[in-house]
Amino acid sequence: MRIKDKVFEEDWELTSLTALGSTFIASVHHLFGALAISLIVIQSAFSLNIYIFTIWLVLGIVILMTDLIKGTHIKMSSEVAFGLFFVFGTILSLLLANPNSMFFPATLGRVDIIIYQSLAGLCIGLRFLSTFYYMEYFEQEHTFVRTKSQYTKEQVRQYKDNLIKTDFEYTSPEEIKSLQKWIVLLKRMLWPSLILIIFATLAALYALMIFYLIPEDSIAEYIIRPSLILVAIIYSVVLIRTNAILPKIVDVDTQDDQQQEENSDTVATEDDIENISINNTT
Amino acid sequence: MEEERHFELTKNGKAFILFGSLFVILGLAIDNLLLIVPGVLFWLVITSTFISFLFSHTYSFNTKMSCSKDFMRSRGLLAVAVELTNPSRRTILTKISLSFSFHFKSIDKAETVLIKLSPKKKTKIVWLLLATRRGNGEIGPIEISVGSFQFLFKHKRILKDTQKIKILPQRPRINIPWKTKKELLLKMVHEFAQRVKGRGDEFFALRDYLPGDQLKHIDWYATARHDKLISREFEDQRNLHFLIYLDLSSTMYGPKFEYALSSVVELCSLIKGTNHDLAVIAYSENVQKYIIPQVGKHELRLMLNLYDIDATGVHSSFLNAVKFTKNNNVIHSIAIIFSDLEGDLIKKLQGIHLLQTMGSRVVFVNFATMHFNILSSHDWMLDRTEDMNYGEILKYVFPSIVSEEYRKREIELRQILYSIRGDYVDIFGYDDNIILSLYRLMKKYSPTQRLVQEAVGRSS
Repeated sequence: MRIKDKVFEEDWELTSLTALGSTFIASVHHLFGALAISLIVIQSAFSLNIYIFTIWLVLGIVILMTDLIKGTHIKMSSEVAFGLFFVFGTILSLLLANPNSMFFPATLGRVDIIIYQSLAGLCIGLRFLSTFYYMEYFEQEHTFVRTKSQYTKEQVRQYKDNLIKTDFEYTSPEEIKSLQKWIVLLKRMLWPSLILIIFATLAALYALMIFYLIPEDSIAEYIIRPSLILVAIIYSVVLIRTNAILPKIVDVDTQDDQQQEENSDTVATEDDIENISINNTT
Repeated sequence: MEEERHFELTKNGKAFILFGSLFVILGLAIDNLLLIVPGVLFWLVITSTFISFLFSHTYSFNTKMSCSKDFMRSRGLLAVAVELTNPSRRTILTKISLSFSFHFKSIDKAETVLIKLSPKKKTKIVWLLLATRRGNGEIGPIEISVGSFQFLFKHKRILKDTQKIKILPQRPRINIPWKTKKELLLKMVHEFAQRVKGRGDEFFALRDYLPGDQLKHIDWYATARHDKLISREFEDQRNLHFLIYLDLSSTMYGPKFEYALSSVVELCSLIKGTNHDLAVIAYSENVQKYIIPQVGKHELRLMLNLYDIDATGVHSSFLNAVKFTKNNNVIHSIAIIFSDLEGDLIKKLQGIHLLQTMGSRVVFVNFATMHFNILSSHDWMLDRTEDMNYGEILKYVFPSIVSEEYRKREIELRQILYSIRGDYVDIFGYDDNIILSLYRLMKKYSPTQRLVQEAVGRSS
């Protein structure tokens, strides 16, 4: 059984377009994921830790396969799953780590391990950032129809011509280009990064202060890290509370506006009465 | 315009706050930058959404949406204009999406556009929409997203204004001049009106008495002259009583039905312009709708009733529809049946016979040509398609079987129709037209054509 509208198919072409550059973003997303895990796998190979190597190899293959299967279709839920996988892998590796591994609970001041950690962390961060960027600007697949036959081309042209100098004159405002989107994104992240930098500087100053006050490493270790953790906890609480407070701020604003309007109304009426009385007397 | 504001942290947003905290705290606890770096990034993103919200929550837009028409034809075009004014002093980046019902499709432009609104300036966006389906369409609401990372922190203005648009069946491609239509009607009146016996009062002809003729119609002078009973035949030259049957069965489903319906509408609008009577019966298993367009203020409403008909998706029974006509004594002189050759043909034939006994002329309009979408029962092709690829079946076997089956059914129907002096009309695809088809049919009855036919008949 089939239903076909021959005339429609002859006249119109159903087109579905993904936003320009979405394939690029998706491939960047996959690339950073693969890069992060390959960095971990390489480091665990160098540290001669077969367990961590196997764990991350398996995780890497699973993540790579799911990425490849889904293609350019990036979903938030799969990203959350990626994050959970990551935490799970880290906890497992933490239990099985040797002093050469990047999962050992102390870097022991080794620069190579710090570089490995920060590079892998950066890759993961960029993967998530590309996800956010994709969701923001490239998620929707646009479907529309295009004219195909001469008849419909003429129909649309004539219709557009007839709309000139009416309220419906055909205009298509310039849409934002891919580069501009990046600029907007970076601009929007300027303020929060400044705030975070201030937070981090304050935390570092606090840590340094303690370090100089109590120059023994062991005590510093017991105070600096917990204090940073405390700052982290406070910041997350601040974030959660902000979420609760934000709508209230807006409510207060709107209520103020309304009250002002009401007050201005009443004041205006009194003024009016006075004016009227003045007018009457004059 | 009524405006609804949405600002809330979505599930994703909450998840990423927790992720950020978890990553940073865990990372700090185990002295691992691997977790700290992404955690800080999550925080950064969430904080940026909050800050952008604080900057942008005071933005307000003056928005206006308007559509170019309220009523339109299917396959017609509609322009929707959305005017946005940014009263603030800053350039705002917004994502504007227009939602509309499934009846429409946007032309050459996506439903969502991402634009910059310049300060204190009016921006107009016009969407051209194509109506693809008949029915009651809806345009709106408009969603304006302000600020980035909408999937983490929803910050939207939804303008709830919607506009309802009635989409009528599609306009026929061929524009037939009114003169032709009038000529067709005259021809139909000339041809079919004389066959209305016992109604009307204008004398038409004498003929042999047939059992059932009323005694008062016997012409006694002629009877005396010819030495056999002769009765007078009358005709109703003024009024024809059209009765249109519209099949709503499952086999008509799809664009074919739309075309049948628009043909019915076209014919109705032609007949309504004259003093002839008209009734429409839409039937599936039973009669679904019986519409008598009236004169006066209800006329339009009743005619528009036609547009709300839709194919029901069950097998139809023409016999039941004719029984309804008989039981309710619906006066008619011409019955025009808009149907196809599919489904239960026997019931259709029985119905046609019953119609004939009621003394009306039958015109069967067939939409089951190969030019339309094909819907056929699978048992037609069961024995031929063993060990065959589905693609091949669709490409080669299916059309041939269908056309063969159609031919068989058409012959059967034609035989029955001609035996009761009925007529058969084919609609050859979407480029054909009901008025033109009837015109072709009436040519058959023209005096010259009749002479030719008689001559051919004599020679054979």
